[in-house]
Amino acid sequence: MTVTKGRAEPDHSPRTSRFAALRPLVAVLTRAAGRVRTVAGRARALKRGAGAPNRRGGLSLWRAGLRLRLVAGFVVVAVLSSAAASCIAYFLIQRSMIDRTQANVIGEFKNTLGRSVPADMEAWSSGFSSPGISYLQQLKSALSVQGRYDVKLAQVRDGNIFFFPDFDTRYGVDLPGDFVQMARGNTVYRRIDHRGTPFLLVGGQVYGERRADGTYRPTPIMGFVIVSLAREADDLRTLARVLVIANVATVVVAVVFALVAARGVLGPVRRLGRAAHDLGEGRLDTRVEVLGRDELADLARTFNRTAGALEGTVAELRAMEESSRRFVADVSHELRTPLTAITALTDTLADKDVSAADRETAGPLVTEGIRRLGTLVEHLIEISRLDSGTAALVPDDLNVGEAVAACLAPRGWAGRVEIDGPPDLMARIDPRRFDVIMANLVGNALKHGAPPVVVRFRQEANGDVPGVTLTVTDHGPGIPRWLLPLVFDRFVKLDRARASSEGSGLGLAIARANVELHGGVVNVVNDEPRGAVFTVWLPLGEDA
Amino acid sequence: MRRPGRCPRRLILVAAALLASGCGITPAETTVAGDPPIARSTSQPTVVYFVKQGKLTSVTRPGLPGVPEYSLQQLLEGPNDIERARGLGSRAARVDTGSDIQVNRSPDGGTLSVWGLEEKGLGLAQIVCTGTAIPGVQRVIVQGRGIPVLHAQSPGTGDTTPDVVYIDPLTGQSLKGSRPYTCSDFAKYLDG
Repeated sequence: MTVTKGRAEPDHSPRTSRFAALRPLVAVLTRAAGRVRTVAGRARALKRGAGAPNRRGGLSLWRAGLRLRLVAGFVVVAVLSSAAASCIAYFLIQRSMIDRTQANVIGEFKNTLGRSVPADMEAWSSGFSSPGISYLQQLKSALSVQGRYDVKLAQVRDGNIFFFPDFDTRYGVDLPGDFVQMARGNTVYRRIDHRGTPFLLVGGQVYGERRADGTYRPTPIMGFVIVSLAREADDLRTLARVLVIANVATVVVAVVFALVAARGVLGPVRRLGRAAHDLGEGRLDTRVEVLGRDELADLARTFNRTAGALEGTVAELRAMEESSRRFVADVSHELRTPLTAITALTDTLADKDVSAADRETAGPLVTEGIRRLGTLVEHLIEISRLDSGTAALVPDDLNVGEAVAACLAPRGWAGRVEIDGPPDLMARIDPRRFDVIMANLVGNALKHGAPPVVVRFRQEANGDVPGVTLTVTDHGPGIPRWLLPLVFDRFVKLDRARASSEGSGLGLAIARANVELHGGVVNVVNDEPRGAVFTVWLPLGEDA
Repeated sequence: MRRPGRCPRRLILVAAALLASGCGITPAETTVAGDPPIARSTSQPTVVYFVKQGKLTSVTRPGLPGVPEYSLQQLLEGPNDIERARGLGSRAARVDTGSDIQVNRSPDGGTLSVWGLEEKGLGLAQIVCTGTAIPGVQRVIVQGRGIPVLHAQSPGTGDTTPDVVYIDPLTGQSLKGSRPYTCSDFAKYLDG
């Protein structure tokens, strides 16, 4: 592929901007790939003590890897939700368990006392008899529910509380004084902790209904039960243990899930990072495999597109550089050929032994060589002007027919070329450049094709734009098929060796550059079997 | 970052402490759980004999459910304020043996043994009459001293309830108690 500077020039600026837009993206990708190394490097620098002092001190989670953050996030969410659920469940169960136990004990306590104590019971003032004791024992065994609870009984006499002696206490729990006092007039309960075991204390003074007036009056009997809540505490401990195990299991499951998820995310990210790194190292054909349909797949696609665009741009730039290098080489070659000839001829002229006839022959040859050199240099100046974009269009109202005639006449081609077209067709075209276009096309046709050479022009719109189409047709052998796409390139000649004496090889390139400067197009086809047809389309211009 | 970083740590500590303290069964202050227990049982009235001007006088007292012998505890307590105001008194007193007054019924229920109470005169009459006023009791045996010793019924009698044998604390020998009395034995103290 040959990319000429002339073709690259018109869209030079957009391509530059496209490349400029790619640069930060590539930079970001490269930086992302290099991040791991950067962190590692920073750690090494810290170890050496050469790095900047780390203000944060400890390892921050945000500096740790994505995997750790994902796992941490998963675990935190899992633990929080599972712990919250566990806590709520635990406290609900705990509360209902305690409440139920308390309600049972208190209800049983009230019932039993109410059933066993007569409303008109009298206080005892002195000594105990076995009937009294057996009554207390009955009461106690009723309250203790088959010996499960410790029971204390007291009587209120003269405003004081006297406890009956304990027969058999299992737990050795003493009743707090304020609790005993509060038990007068109410049923009260209290939970205490005695030597690591929770106990429920329930107490109350029995009241009896006075039949006469329906009021209640206290009986002397006060009852207290001491209930061990060890079983409930055990149940709660078991529950807590089960919940902790469940939470640990949740953490393990969360870690596993997080690792799986992290792998799903980190695998593509790592591949992308590697690819970006490779891209940054200059391996522009690096692509990543697009898997799935998620955002990472999108990113991979974007990366691939970017890399492709980058690769294309770089290839184009390289081709342009290559072509410009070749152009310089071609120019040197083209300049050297006539110079060599001239040098040889001038050497001949300088030789005193050369005959006058030879000198006469050499003189015009030198002149011819210098003239061609001059043409070549002029063409080069012209094309470099067109390349650099400094060529200015100076449009003028032009009668196309007259302009064609005016181009042919001074070059002595008028008799060799037929002109066919409407005589009054006007266009707004730069006359000098039009002359250059026509001269190059017609000159090319005359040089390489065979007569008759015909120039036709007519008005023709290209899409919506009104314009004029000129064709230059010759009746020669036509252009070889391989040369057709290259015929407008620089220094393209049918036969490099022989053509050194004929033309600069820049004529058609200059013609095309001038056409394109007008906003027109030029192309060539072989019109079998007659020869080559060059077609130029130029817009008529705004005022034509 | 460091300063605000402390706050969550402290919060977590507080939350952990709260959780830890909320675990298991925590102590709770004294809480009122509604009305006091209301007595609904009805007592069998008991008859107790006190002394008024050298004669036995019976009063009716509220008894206790399931303990018919409770009248003897009431006798020991003596007359209450109202009865005292009526001029009632008691001669029945406990003998200072250092132990409780023991009341036992024979297996057939007809004989009541009372240990540890006065055993002479008006006091004895009070005990015997109060004892025989208990439904089903015909005779009362009274003994002042004695330490009760439980020992199993001799095998072969078919009775498995343990019998109580009284030991004299001074001699260490088993005591048999007085002869069985009935209330009519003390007719001289009864009115009419």
